[in-house]
This record gives sequence, structure tokens and C-alpha cells, in this order.
Amino acid sequence: MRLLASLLLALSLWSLPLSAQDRTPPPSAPSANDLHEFTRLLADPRIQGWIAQQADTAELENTQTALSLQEELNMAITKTRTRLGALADAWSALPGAVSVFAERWRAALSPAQQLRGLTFVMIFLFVGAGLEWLYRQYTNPIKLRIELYPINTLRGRVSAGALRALIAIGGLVIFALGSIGTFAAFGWPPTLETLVLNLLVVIFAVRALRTLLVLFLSAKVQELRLLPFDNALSQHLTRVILALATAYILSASLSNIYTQLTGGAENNPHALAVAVVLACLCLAATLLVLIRCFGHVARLRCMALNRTQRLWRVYLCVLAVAAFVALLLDRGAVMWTLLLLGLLIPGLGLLRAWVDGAFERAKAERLADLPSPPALDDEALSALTDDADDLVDPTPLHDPYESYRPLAQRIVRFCAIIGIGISMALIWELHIFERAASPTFSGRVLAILIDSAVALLIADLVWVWARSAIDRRLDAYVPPEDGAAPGPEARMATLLPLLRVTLMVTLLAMVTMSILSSLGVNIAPILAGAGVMGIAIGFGAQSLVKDVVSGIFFLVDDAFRVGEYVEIDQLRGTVERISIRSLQLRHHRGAVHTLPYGELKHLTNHSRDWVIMKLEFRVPFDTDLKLVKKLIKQVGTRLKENEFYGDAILSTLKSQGVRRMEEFNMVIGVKFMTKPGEQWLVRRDAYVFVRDAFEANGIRMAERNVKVEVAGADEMTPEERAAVAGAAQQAIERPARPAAPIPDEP
Amino acid sequence: MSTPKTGRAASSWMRSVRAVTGLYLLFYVTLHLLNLCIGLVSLEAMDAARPYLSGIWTGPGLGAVLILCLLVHYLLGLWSLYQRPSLSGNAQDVVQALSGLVILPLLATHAIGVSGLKNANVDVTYEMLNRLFWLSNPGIGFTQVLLISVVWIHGCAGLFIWLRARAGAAQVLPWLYPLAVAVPVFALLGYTQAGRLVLAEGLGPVIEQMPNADGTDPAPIPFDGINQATNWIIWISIALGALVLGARGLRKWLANPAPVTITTQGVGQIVGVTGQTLLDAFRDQNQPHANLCSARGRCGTCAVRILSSTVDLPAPTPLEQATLERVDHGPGVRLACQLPLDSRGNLEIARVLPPDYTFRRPGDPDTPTPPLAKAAP
Repeated sequence: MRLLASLLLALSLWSLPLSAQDRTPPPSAPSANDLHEFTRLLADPRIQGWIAQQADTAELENTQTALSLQEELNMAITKTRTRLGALADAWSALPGAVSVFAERWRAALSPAQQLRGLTFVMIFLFVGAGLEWLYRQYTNPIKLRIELYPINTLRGRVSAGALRALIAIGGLVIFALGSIGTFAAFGWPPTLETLVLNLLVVIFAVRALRTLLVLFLSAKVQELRLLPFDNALSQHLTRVILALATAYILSASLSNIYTQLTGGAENNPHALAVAVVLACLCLAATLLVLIRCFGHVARLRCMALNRTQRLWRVYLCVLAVAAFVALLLDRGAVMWTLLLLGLLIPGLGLLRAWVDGAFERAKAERLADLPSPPALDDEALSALTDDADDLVDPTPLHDPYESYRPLAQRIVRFCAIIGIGISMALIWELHIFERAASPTFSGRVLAILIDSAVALLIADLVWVWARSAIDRRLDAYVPPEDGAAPGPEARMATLLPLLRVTLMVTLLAMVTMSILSSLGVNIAPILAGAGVMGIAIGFGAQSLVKDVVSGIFFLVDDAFRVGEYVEIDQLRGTVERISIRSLQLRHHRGAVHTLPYGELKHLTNHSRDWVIMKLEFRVPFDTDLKLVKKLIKQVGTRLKENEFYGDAILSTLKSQGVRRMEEFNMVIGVKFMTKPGEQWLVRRDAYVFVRDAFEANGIRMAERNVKVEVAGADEMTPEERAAVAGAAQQAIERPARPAAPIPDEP
Repeated sequence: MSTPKTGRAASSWMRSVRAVTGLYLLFYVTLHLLNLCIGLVSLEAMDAARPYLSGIWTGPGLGAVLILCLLVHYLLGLWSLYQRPSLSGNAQDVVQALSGLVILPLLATHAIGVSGLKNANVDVTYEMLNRLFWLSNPGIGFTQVLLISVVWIHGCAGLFIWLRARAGAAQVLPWLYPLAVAVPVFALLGYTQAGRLVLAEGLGPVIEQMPNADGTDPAPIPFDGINQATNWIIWISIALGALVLGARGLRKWLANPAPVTITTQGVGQIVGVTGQTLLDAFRDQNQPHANLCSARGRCGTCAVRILSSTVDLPAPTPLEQATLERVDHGPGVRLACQLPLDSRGNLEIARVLPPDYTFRRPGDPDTPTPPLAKAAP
């Protein structure tokens, strides 16, 4: 599906520049040499003759092809008048029609020949039916399995329906091959051939219709029915539709046989009379069935006919009458158009109901399948109902199919409308695939309409597909809870809405262009203008574009996510908001920095995967290092067991031994590894625990103590001592380093 | 005046006779159709093969056997058609019964005509018959095509129902199906080809009598007698068929049906009427249910477990009892095809076998003991 959509997109993208390329670039002025050559060629009588001939034929074709609206109307009126005359002739010829045909019939086929024809038909039908029976013997087990076992998933039901259809259609094809194929293998006299072939085709057509009805209405198996009807209703509908269609097919075939019998002439009043009588019968049957059927259906559903249904009934009756009138006036194309468009409207409704029904059923089955633990546990249920805050899952049940529903509906609608469009084009002989203009005005209008409709439909399909895919991804995105690190899908939440808007704008532009183009507007200047505008805007908004583009790449690189603690140049903070142009950092002291992406050269992310923190303790030289190692290990175990952050510690506190010796003490290094963001808490507790453990085991933290040895200190007076101590104090304090900056951390 | 014992013996005997005669008739029809297939080669080849493929079976001795088989099979068929509780719901049964009824009227013209001609010392060749069927009497030719189709459908339906109730049949049937189609199709095509040949020649049939063995001229062909005999047989067989169907209709009309609610565990609820069997009710309401032998009470695949019932259920007939003992599904199990719904009420049952059950799964724990070829007497 995605492949198809991208293909369509690519095709439409490709077709746009194509029409622009059709225009040849403006040629440079011809050289003098060229002009001489040209005059020489023009003087050549052969060339002159050829050009004159071309001009004549072109004129001729022009008068033949391009018909104005008025001429068309004139022609239509003339044709209608002729037809009315023919109808009047047919009316007067009607009483004699039967005897004329009996006579022709006898002349063409003797009774013996008729019987022989019947014999042949029997034989061919038997051959076809026998082959089909054989086919059914082998496919029946599969069909039975499909029909007898309930299928619970939507996908299973769709594939079962498709397989069943395939089996049924396979049987039909084998029947056709067997009967019509054997018929074709022998040579026949022409009248007999018409008769036998007509009969075989009638039988085949009715069976094909029946297969279709079985597929859609599936009168016997409720589970496989595609439309949301019950058994009685679908059986009734199957009977009615089959009977009506059989009547139509038989009438068409009979009319055809009569035309052939009267020598294939179109205007034979007898054949026309029979055709009209048959059409009248069909119309009468249709009207009768329509009027009765609505009432019957309402009775089956145990309700009275409402206003809408009455309107539908009237609508269908009017449609039938209109089609009949078109047929009467020999406007085959108009009749088919009326029928196709007229049936398209209720057909679309039915298709919509079908898709809805399928989704509803899938949803209901999913609901039924899901285990419901609260219902099993009464206590839990009462607790849940008592305490509304404690509801485990307050969101409505997430249905995995729901987001596909609009897409499915569009696809079904798309297929239906495209099918109708193509058949209309075939009926009106528009040659839409051949880039040749239709000769008539109405044909051109229709071609434009079909072109625009196709562009709109494709764009709509692509848009709904993309939107539902994007929405599905966005729905699946759960914003991180406070304090938790956001997952990689967080950047999707940033990129996807942007993508959606871009796609919408692109599609709108493309559809507008293609409609304009099919209307005959030259879109090359628009495209060129857009190009110039694009360049101008591009220069003006250079830095804006730079911001946006580099932002997209930062997001694609997954350099940062909302909620992460990052450092950019001198700025640190938690990423609070990612927009399309800039990112906002919240410093841990509350300040918010806004940085356009274009400014970012490099970025340090402190919230990825793990963090190692190293701590140092200064202890006197006489400390027992083994004891220290043991104590640190105990503290590490204790930290790991903490219920709040224990899980976040990836590798707990451990001693790294003496890191270095200093003037008055030695430095013990310890380190630990945690998940990002947890290290501060762990460090706080690590300091407390280590200090407590050292104190309990008699290990003192080293303090700066200065021993001043003064020669002859023993004989000093207390005043002298005080003076020396003061001098020493000064000496200690002097080399003190300037105040270290307070570490920047939250 | 039949005790269950003798009644069952009688019905079992009748079934066997019907099957044996039917098989013999089908054998003959197959040979006859094979002879027609040779028409694809030439008319002469058809006539050359005629003595072996159909001649000897309709000769003096075996011909009588054939007619006897036909009569016995026909009368027993009529009787079983009357006996069968219901025809509705199963297309195969309906096809088999109705095709059985129309065979005799269709056959009469051909059989009586050919044997009458033979009695009058006419050498009945395929060439002559083809000219007759295609040129001078296309109506009779058309009847022949109908006859071939109907006879073959009837024979195959009987054969396959008979085979399907047997354990080993699952392996054989897929190989029989193509044969069952090939024989009539080629026969009809052979007939068509022969017809095209004689139509191209355009010469009508020449019916000439051979002189008697003692050299005297034979008596003229009794066309009137043949026609009369044919008409008699047609009307009698139509009357017999109508009689049986009428008797069935009368019986059904007198039955005065009342509703019976049937609940199948895990499947759903349907409403049948009295006078049907349980299986008929299932078929009527489109509820699938296994029945390999088409309600003959032989295969035991339609077994149901009775969970509760407010309907008077008659005791099992000896036939049902024997089948139940053989398949052995435990107590409380009845055969749906043999269980008449006699009075209004509710019935709750459970399926024993899945509806698409065949004898094909040997590993299935539910597989009943393979049914014997014939219920032990």
C-alpha cells in the first residue's frame, strides 16, 4: 500500500515538470545561412505541393473534429427526431412483429435444426457443469472449512472472503471454459452460432451475477457476509436482484437474437418494436420490484418505511424511468452514465456501511477477546469504582484498527469512483489514456471533469493515508512522565506535524496545478513564478532556512530530546521545547535560553545512557587502606539497596585506591556509574554514608594542620609564641588558591 | 407385521439389493458410454466395439438380468423414496431422487425402440442410430442427451454417497472424480462428433430387415406396437413417480407440524418442526452438521449428545442402535438423522463431531472406529 502510494506520488511529481518541459526554449535568431536555405526550400515546387496538401487535410480534419456546442445540439435534436420517427414506425409494425419473426425463424432454422441446437447446448452445458463439478470436489473441503469455522480477526475474515471468492470465480471460469470452449472448438452455421452462443452467454452471465451476489450477500453464512444484513433480508435481496438481472440479460439477448434474425439492420421497425416491448417489460418489472421490495425489507426489519427510505424508493424509480427514456431515444451512453452515476450514490453508501460494519465487528470482537481482570475480581472492581483516582487505565480502549478506518473507506471509495470513471470514459470513447482531445464539447468537459476528479481522489487518498499514518504514530507517542527520560520517539512528535503540514501544502499545490493544467491553463508561468518567488524568499530568509534545515538534521541525528539535560557552548539546561526553528533550554535556576538551530555548532548531551561520577576523600597518611576499601564497598552495597535510586545505579560505589599523595594527606578516589540525572542524589548519600562509616571506624578526614618548628621554642615567652603562631597562620593562608567557581549543577 | 428385528433385516437386505443392482446398472452404463466415446474416432470404430461393450450385456441371457436389475432397482428406489423422512435441505438427495424418477420415461423410447427393432431382425448399428437421432428424429436425439446426463448424475450420486460412508473411500474418491467426469464428457463429445459426421453426409437412416434364419421374409417392423409399449411405460412410470410424491405430500400434510426449539451447545438456537428428523432441522436452518452417508444412518457422523430434552424421544431403532454401538461415543448419544422430532418442546444437544468431519484424519482422537462395510447383522 505504501509502495503504491509512493509510486503515485512519484508519478504525479514526475508528470508536473513534464508538462513544463513540453515548451521548447525560445530559439535564438536564425543565421543568414539558415534563411537562405529556407527560401530555397520554399521555392521547391515539391515542398510547396506537400505543404498545400497538408494544409488542406488539416483543415478537413479540423472541420471534422472540432464541433461547437451548437452543432452538437443540432445533431442531437436531429437524431432524436429520426429516432422518434423510427419509434412511430415500430409502433405501427408492432402487431405484425410476431408473425414476421415466426416466418424468419422458420426460414433460418427448421424445427430439426432448433432441436439439434438445443441438443448441442445441452451437451456443452453438461461438459461445463461436469468440469466445474470436478473442480468443486477438490475445492469443497477448503470452502467448507472457511464457511464452518468462525474467524475472529478482521484480516482473517478478509482473506477468507477473498479465498472464497477466488474459489467461486475459479469454478465459474472453468464452467465457461468447458461450455463456451467446447462450443468454440467446433464450426457452426451462423444462425445456430448466434443462438447457441447467446444462450451460453446468458447462462454464464446469470451465474456470474449469482456468484457476485453470493460473495456480497452470502445468503447462508452470516459470518462471511460483507454487508450488514441478516439472513432473511439477504436471501430476499439475492432472489430479487437475481430475478431482475436475469430478466434484463434475457431481454438483451432476445433483442439481440431478433436483430440478428432480421439481418442485423439497425432500423428494422420489427426488431425495434420487440426491443421496445422488452424494455417496457423490464421497466415495469423494475418498478414493481422496487415498490414492493422496499416494503418487504421494512417488514423484515420490523419497522415502518421512514421518510429517507421513501425518498430512496422514489429516487430509484425515477432513475429507472430516466434510463428507460434514454434507451428509448437510443442514447446508450447517456443511459449507462445515468445508471452508473445514479447507482454510485447508494453504492457508495453501501460500501461505507460495509467498511463501517467490518470495523465495528472487529472492534466488538477485540473487546470480547480482551481479558477483563477487574470483572473477575470483585474486590478490585469495588475498589476501582470507589476510588476514581485509582483507575488503572482511564483512557478508552485503544483499538488498533480504528486509525485505519478512514483510510479503508477512502480506498474503497477511490476504487469505486475510479472504476466508474474508467467505465464512463470507455462508454463515451474519450481515450483519456491517449492524450488526444475528444471531438465533442461535452466529451471535452467530461474529460476535464474526470481528470480533475482523478487528481482530487489520488491527492485525497495520499493525504488520508499519510495523515492516518502520522496520527497513528503520534497517538502511539506517550509523553514522558516528570523526571523520566524521554524515549527516541519524542523527536517524532516534533517532526511529524511538520511533515504533515508540508505534505498538505504540497498536495494542495499539486492538485491545483493538475486541475489547472487539465482545464487548459498553461501552468508553466505559474511554476516559473513560484520558482522566482522561491529564490527571492530563499535569499531573504537565508538564516531562517538554515535554522530549519539544520534543525531537521539535529532531530534526525537524535542529538537531543525534550527533557534532556544538554550543554551548548556556555549554556546548560533541560530541553524544554523543540520548535521548528529553535530550541529552548531551561537552566536549573529557572532562566530560559532560546537557541536557533543555526547557531548550534556542537552540543553536549548529559542525559544519555550513563554517567560516571568520581569523588575524592582526603585521609591522613596513617589510614588503614584495606579498611577504607572495605568500608567503601559496604557503602556501595548500601547505596545499591536503596529503594528510590538503587535501580538507577549501574555500577555502584567502589574504591579506586589512593589517587595521589599531597603535602599533608593522601587522596582516596571512589567512583560510581548511574543513569543520567540520578548521580546527584547518589553522590549526596555517598558523601554522608562514607563520612559516617569513616567516623564509626575511627578514620579521620585529613585536616590541614601546620607544624611550625622554631629553633629554641622552649625558651619563648608566651608573647613570642603568640607572635610566631600568628606568623605561621599568615604563612598558611597566603598560598590559598582563589575561590573556585561553584559547580554548575542542578 | 415386522418386529424390529425382521424390519431391520428387511431394510438392510433391501439396501444391499439396491446397491448391488445399482452398481451393476452403473457398470453397464459405463461400458455403453465408453462405446459412445469411440465416436471421437469414427462411426465404424463405434460399431466395431459394439459387440463387446454393449452387445453381450444386452444379449439373450444377460439382457434379462439387466432388465431384472433395472426393475428391482426402480421399485426399491420408489419404496425408499417414500420411506425417507424428508428430502429438503440436501441438494444431492433431491437430485438423486428426482433423477431416479425421470430415468424410466426418458429411457423407454430408446430401450423399447432398440429391442423392438432387434426383435424384428434389424441390425441396429450406431451408424443407423446416429442418423436417426441427428437427422430424422432430432427430438429423440435430444432425449438421448438428457438421458445420458440424468442417468450418469443419478448413478454417480448413488455411488459416491455409498462410497463416502466407507472408511477407505477417502483415498479412493479423489481418483474417481476425474473418471466420473471424463466418461460422460467424452461420451457426449463422441456423440457430437458422430452427429457432425452424419450431418455432413446428410443421409437419413436406412432401416432394413435381415431375412429370417430359414430364409423367409420377416414380419414387418411393428412400429405401432413399439410406440404403444413405449407410451405405456412412460405413463406408468410417470404415474408411479407422481403416486410416491403424492403419498409423501399427503403424509407431510397430515403431520400437522409443531415447533421444536433446538439449542446446540456453543453454536446457537434454531426452531425446527415436528415431522422432521433432527438432521433435517439442521439442514433446513442452514446449521452445518456432519453427515457423510446423507441420513442413511450408516456412518454415525451425525451423532449428537442429548443434554436435556422436553421432547419425547423414541427409543433408537435397531439400525441406529447398531451404528451407535459401532461408533461408541458413550451414553446419551443419538444419531441426528434417525431422531424424529415427534412433539413440541425444547431440545438441548451438543455436537460430537465437527461439521466438516471426514474419515480422513486417522490421528484425530474423536475418530470413531472405522465403519464396517456393512452393519453386522
